[in-house]
Amino acid sequence: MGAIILRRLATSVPTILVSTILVFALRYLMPGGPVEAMLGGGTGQYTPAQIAAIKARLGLNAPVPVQYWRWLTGVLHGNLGMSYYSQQPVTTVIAPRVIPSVELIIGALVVSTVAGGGLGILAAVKRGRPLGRAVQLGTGLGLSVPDFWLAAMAAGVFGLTLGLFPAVGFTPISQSLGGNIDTLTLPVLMLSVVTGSFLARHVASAMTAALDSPYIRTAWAMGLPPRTIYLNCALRNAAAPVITFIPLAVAALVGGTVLVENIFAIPGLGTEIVSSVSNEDYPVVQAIVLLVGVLVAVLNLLADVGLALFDPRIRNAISE
Amino acid sequence: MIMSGRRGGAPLPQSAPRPGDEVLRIDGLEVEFGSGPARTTALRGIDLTLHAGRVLGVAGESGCGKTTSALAVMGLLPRGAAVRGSIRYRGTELLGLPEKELRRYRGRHLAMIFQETTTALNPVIRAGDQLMMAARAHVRGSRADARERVRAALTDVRLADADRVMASYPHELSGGMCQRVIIAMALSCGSAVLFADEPTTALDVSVQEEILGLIRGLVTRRRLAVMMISHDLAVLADVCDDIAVMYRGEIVESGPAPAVLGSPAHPYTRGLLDCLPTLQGRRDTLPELPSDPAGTPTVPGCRFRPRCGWAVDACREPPDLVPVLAGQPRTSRCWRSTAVLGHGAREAGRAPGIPAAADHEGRG
Repeated sequence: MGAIILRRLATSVPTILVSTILVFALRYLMPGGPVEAMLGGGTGQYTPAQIAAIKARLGLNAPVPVQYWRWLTGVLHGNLGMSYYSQQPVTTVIAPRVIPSVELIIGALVVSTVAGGGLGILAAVKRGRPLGRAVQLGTGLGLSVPDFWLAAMAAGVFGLTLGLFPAVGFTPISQSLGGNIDTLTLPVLMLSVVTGSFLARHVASAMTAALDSPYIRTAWAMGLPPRTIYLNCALRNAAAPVITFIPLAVAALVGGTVLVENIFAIPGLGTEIVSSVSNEDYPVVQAIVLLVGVLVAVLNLLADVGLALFDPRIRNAISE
Repeated sequence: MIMSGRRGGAPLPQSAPRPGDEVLRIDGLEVEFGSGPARTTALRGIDLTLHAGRVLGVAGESGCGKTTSALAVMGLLPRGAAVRGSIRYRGTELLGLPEKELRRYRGRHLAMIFQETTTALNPVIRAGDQLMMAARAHVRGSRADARERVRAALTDVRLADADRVMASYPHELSGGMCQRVIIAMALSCGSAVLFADEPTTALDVSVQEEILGLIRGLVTRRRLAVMMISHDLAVLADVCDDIAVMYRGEIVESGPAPAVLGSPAHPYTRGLLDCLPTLQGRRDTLPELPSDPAGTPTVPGCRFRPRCGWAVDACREPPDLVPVLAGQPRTSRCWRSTAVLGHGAREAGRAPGIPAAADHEGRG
């Protein structure tokens, strides 16, 4: 098992390295380039001497690979640069923003895995019957309803009209656990709709394939109880596609937080990245994108290890 | 439609059947799939009997209903299949039993193995754990007790290194070993009836011989009643006591294996025997005609008539499955059975393992 982790770790290093290059390149892709961004729109009112001074201070005169190397070593030392907008270290700006987003993503991952997984199993087991059809219809609906519309409707109906939950705003967990849960319930549920529906479809097709296989027919022929057949024999085989899907789900959820945080006014990374982009505060944007990239790479690594744990054939294939 | 039978935890004979005892009796079994215009009839009323310590071979082309009849007994037909007739296991009517009841019979009294070998075992569960699951599905008792039964079953299927096999995943075992493990699963709860659906088709010829020998041995030692399904008459000739030949959902000929294979009394059986490869090369007489129900026109009278070289005007009336000769346990669904029989009996043996086979020259 250790060998598998090492091998996968070795392959994820290049992935992360490439993502840092892409993230670094962001500053050159931004309209106007870094200097204009830092000066807050338009270099017109500055003398060329002033601009040259800023360039020198930012190290923008060095060759690009050198700039990249300086930036990368800084990142590895935990120095993500200074925010242009607030003139504070990026880490200071981002740190408090990480917690609400992580809460949202973990909450949505748990809800969509449990609900989506359960519905997927149900759809496969009750396939062709009214209940199975209803589940497939529901998840189809969940996939096709625009999430921004759904989130706005939920905020309106459950937040404003029914008053069950706060429509907008966020109470940090450090302040009040109850308040924290209250403010996160709707955003988490809305975030889970698409991912959960997707996962349900995924589990349903993997379960259906497993249930149609010769080994499940053998299990029936041996008179095993249905519960054992569904949850022990079939689900173990359906686990692989689900594990592979988790990193993709997290990547999708990160995208979803941008939307949900902005609709529910939650001070997380999603709202931060939107305001940073409009402020052209590229060190913050870079830091958030890098964070997400590393997160997805690490999750992919964990998913590969999880796959090997579940399937002995994959274990063999990797160690040979 | 006979759906009465004893319901709800009917008492079953706990003693093992004696050799020759009738353990399973199928009467007038009909199976239909689908509904409305898409409805197809898979079985048109078949009668079969399985005896303890005997092997019944069921032969026929793909789609003739061999597997369907076994699945019907096991209660494993897809949902929506309409089943009529009677299936009695040692006196208990199985047809119409609720799924929950029927499940007590599967694996405990009736077991079935399939053509797939490596894929018929769960790829992500160790063989030992799968065997344990089967062993504990019906018999209450400790894990240690179940483990003992599994070991005994593995010894019974001639898997010497039981510990290694139990610790292996299916992909680490050969096809022959997998089939042995599956047979051991079927035996671990003491089934009295085994349906073997093309159990050796996916295996090498040498392994095929071993598995057939193994099944034959189990029939003798455990007094197992076996229904061996195969399209390969050479395989059936090897292991069967009795043979039933099926064509398009009907039994067209049945009787003791040496008699049926030695001197067939139905043109279809003769045709199947002619298709066996010989040392002189393969002779094909049948494959020229489509065999699926959609392909061959459905004609009034004998269903085999469009493909039959013996057909005469009388064949426009449907023949019944009747004794070929008075006082003999042989039946044929053919108006000209005695003529077919007389023709075949003069021929010398041809296919390996078959006492005497028919010749296709000069038919009709």
